[in-house]
Amino acid sequence: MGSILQLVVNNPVEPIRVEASKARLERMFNEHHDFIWRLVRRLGLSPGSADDAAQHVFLVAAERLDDIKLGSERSFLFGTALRVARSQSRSDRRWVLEEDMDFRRSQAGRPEDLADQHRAIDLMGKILNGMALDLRTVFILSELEGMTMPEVAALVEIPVGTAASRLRRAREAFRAAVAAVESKLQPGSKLP
Amino acid sequence: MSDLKLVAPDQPTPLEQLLMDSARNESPSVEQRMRVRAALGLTALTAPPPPVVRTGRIGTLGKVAIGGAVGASVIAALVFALHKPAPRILPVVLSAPVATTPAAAPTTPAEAAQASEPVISPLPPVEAAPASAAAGTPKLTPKGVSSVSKSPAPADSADDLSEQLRLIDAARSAVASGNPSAASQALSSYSSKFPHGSFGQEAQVLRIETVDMQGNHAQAAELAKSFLERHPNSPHVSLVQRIAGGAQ
Repeated sequence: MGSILQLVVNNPVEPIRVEASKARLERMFNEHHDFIWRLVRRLGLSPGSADDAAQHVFLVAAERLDDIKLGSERSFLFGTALRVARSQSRSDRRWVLEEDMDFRRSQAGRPEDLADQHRAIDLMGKILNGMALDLRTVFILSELEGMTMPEVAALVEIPVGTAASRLRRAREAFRAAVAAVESKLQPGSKLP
Repeated sequence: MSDLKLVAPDQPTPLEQLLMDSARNESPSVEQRMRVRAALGLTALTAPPPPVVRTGRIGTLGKVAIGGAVGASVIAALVFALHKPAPRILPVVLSAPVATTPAAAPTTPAEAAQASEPVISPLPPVEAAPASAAAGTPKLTPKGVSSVSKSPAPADSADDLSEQLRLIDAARSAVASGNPSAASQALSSYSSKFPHGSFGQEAQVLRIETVDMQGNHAQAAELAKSFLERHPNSPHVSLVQRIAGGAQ
């Protein structure tokens, strides 16, 4: 049986190892928790689901801590977050871009109304949900998380050129979606 | 033609900038951070993360609460555990590689994406347990468990959160050290003091574990099934499923 307790009994050094693991987990949490939370949010989860998903990701990491190579923590968390978000989003409410973009039916008929943080975040989520996942992922990492192309490429495990190409297409998709919203808000008007 | 067209190709329009800024600035609440820390069994041995909380319901006081909050350390639980029967389920954080741990280490996103579900341990969570569950001999019912609300009380003060975390951590440590009576006591105290506490789901999972540890496997399985019905996406699903299945 491989319980931690037996390991401790049989190996006096075990508590030290356990403490080291705990410190490592602490670092992972401090350095990556918010990033993981934002990632699953931008992948379409509601705030509540993002809370659960982020927690799930770190529970997986804690469970498999010894399997994670040093220096690969962010990569592991990222991959796990993608899987968890994909799984969770199936049961989450799906946004429909076309419907939600029609702000003419809502009370927020002017661009300045979007200054409300929640509305802006909602709209951003809808736009991102309208992107293909591969484009969305690169867009999130580069445009929202501020990663360099090499960093994005390494994390997503694609060539830098592919990452750059995806980012270009993602930007185009984003701009087109925003332009569609702008045209529906007040065609021809200036934005605040 | 709209003025938007005058914007340089590489320059975001005001709306684009607004949307991206809103996304960049959104961050998890302090409460969420505390919840995950509690689930991982992390104490404030090191400085808490430097969160940029803009819309947290609790505010900076909540962050301060992390420092003295999380309660008994897992190491302490291990020390106790050396003298007590091993619990069926141990806190995740301290889990050493166990037999169920996959041999291959996923070190890439692709591998991680294939990683098996965590053999989640328990650390986590809570949902307010029924106040009727007396220490030592909890009389839980699925209905009681389901009454627990995951939603945190928006007006939790830093002191309340500290106390909640202390009780949850005490319960978790008791479970880890194979002391269901102490765990039940802590959970009963939690549910009576914080019927709508922030860690209701965590408390509920700990309660299920406690009932199971007391030998009431059928009841634990019943509670576990009820939990799974009500929280199909809970981070603790794997653990609860094991209890639900193991007791059958």
